[in-house]
Amino acid sequence: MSVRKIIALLAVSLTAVAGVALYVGTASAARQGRGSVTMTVQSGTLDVLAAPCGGRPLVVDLANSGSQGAYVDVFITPERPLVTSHDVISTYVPPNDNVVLRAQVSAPLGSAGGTHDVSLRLGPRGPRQEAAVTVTPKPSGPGANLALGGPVSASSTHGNFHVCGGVDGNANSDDWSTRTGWNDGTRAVFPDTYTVAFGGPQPIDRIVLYTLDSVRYPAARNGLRDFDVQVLGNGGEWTTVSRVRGNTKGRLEFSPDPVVSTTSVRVVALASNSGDYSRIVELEVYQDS
Amino acid sequence: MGRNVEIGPALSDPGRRRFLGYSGIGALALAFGPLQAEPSTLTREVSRFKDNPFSLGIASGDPLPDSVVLWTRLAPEPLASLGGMEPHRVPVGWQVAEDARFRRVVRQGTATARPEYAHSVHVDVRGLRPGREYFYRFKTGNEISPTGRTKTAPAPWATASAFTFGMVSCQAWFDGYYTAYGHLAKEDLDLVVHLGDYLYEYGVQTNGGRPDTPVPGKFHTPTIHLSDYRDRYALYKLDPELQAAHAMAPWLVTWDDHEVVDNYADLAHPSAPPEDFLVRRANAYRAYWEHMPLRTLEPTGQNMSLYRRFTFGRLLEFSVLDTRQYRSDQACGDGLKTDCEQRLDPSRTLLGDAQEAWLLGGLERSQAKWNVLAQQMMLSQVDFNTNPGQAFGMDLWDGYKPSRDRLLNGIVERKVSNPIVLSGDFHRSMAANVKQDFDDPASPTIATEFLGSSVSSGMDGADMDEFGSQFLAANDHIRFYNGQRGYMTFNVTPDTWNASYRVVPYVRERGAPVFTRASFAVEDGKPGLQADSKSAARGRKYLSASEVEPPEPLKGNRK
Repeated sequence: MSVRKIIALLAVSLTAVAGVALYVGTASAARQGRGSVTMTVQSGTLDVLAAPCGGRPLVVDLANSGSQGAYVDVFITPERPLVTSHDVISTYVPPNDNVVLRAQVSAPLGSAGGTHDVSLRLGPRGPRQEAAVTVTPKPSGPGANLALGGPVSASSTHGNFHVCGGVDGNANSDDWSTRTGWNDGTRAVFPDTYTVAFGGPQPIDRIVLYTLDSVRYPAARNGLRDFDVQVLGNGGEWTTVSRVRGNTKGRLEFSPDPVVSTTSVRVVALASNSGDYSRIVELEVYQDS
Repeated sequence: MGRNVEIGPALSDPGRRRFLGYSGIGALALAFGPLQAEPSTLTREVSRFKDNPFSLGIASGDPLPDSVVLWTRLAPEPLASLGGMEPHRVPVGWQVAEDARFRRVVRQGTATARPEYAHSVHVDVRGLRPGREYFYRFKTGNEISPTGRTKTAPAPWATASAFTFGMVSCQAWFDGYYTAYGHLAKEDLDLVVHLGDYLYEYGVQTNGGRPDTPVPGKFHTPTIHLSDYRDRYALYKLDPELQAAHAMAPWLVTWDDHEVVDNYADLAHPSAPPEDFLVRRANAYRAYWEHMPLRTLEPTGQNMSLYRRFTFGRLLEFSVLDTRQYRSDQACGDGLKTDCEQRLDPSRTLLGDAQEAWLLGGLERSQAKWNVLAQQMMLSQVDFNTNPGQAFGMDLWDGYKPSRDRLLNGIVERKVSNPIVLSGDFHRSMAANVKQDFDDPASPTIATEFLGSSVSSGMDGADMDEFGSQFLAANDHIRFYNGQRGYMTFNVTPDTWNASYRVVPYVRERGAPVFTRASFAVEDGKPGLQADSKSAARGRKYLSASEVEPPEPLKGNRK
């Protein structure tokens, strides 16, 4: 929550906001007429990729102009095919302060392109506000990153991470654990696997793997050390296209030669330089690149 | 923060009470909350629910000689938002009887499950008789809850001949099954004390410790909002072994850090500046109150008074502490530190001034034979370094040495009768002689500490591990170590305090047996571990440091 930063945004946007919902506290903490919370959608029109990890956060600001704290419920109803991470978000809003909420909006793989609304209400009977969301079909074909947005799965995922963190388009290790990245959930237990699927066979000729590598967390100390890159064969068997041992680099590129056709690529982590966890910042898979 | 602290559980101004006390056997009385004008929120009887509304079980807690708090929450769809309830009030009937068949009902009434409290119900049942076993249940519509057993405290002047209680902490759902609770529920106890980490803020991954229980995607991220914490409590409370343990006896609960977020200190946490962090703390405290059998009023905002005192006749008195809400930020950036000067700064505090004064004042006035500090962190010094030079965990009492010295010296100065320290947090069992000066082997033992292991946090563990070997080697006052999961039981008489370390050899699979790994006795008037018996180890015998979940200060960067 970077409430302070959002306050500045709010000051700019308030003048232009129409249809701000007013919610006079029915929550227990707010005595009648004292708690007064307004809701504003901050995120503008969202562009989501029609893939399991292609969602974007809907950012909602709740501002309490009253002298009493308030507990409020935001009811979130997506229009099909949109899906939201939450249907209700409840929070405390301090007096004369504001709180920023985020709800992830996504569209299932295969959804058609188009614009749809997410409807928000402050309180069960509050007035509706609509937020527009544009759905873009997942790209495919020459030059496209087939891994972007998943579907992705892992042998396990640490509780502070999301399995999508390695296919979210953010390969920046400086954002590790705050905005992006995948970290397995079983300390000092190997192998760990991270698997991306394409929904059908695709010819691929380039795989790019980013393991954790920043000034604070250099790959030589925190990155993957020993791992195999594998592709799924027609018979359900995994074939190793590259075997890496003793790695200390943050970015590695593999070019299957000849081009292979596969429905899925996975990284099998056998050891990390820290000996505890496997850490992937981004996995990219390309064809005709 | 500047908030008035409510002292003691039963002595607060009755005008502020949420519940109406009443007297007269068989009287029908209402246990409504304050009837604030909320015109948009109606009370509606619901006769049919989509599913069992008592899916999260029942509980009782905060026992007094004449009173106990009953708890439940209506959640016909426990993992759905708002538990699958519509946003209006629902009446919930309750009964307390002397027998499990409810032939001798002594109290009954109707409470209101309110949407703003996630349809949780807290009933402070008054007019009960001291030192008695009771049975309770709830009813809403056509649905009747399971029956719980509870027990009132003995009369203040009574000299109870024996008292038994259990002690638990640290129940990361994703680390393993609550087998320990299943066994605890079969013990015959007067009370269960929970020392915190009832809930973990971390995301629950479907491929984590309980692969047979898939969870919706909203559980994959850490808890931030009130709705996140509510949903997480629902997930944890769905566990039948946890429910059985709640139904067996009244609980005294306190929190540690994970009910909000790992290693927060007052309003300090690296995730957010204090003015933002207070929102998360307010959300977490509110959800904690909603889901625990607490007598205290519902919190409004980021503060909630939780420390309180319970007296069980002349035999024992519990001072239940809160070592999170008022503490100074961890010294020297937290973690494991050597030569940290800041930990010696006397202006820093673990309890906060008000709680510290309340604690010492209470210990001075206590009439009890055994005086128990029910709190979170290992109080005794834990030197992690077997070589010369000392390394201490900055989140533990070691990181607040003058605060601990004030407490220990205060206990000596007040000649407190038989001080006993209970602690959790550490995911391992230890027993220790509490020394007035831990660096001086000739220093007197002034109290006895029992560190209880986790119910599930830390996964299976092993009887001994590399850390345990180091702790025993570097700390002469630590007399026992076990690195597995479990709980403790205590059998207290005027002459002797008996403690048992009840251990389950594994939690990653269901159905582990329980066994007593070690027992210790403390004799009246002789602080320290006076006798012990041990059984053979079971499960994993030993884990090296790289194989075991490291103790807190070695876990790396805070989130």
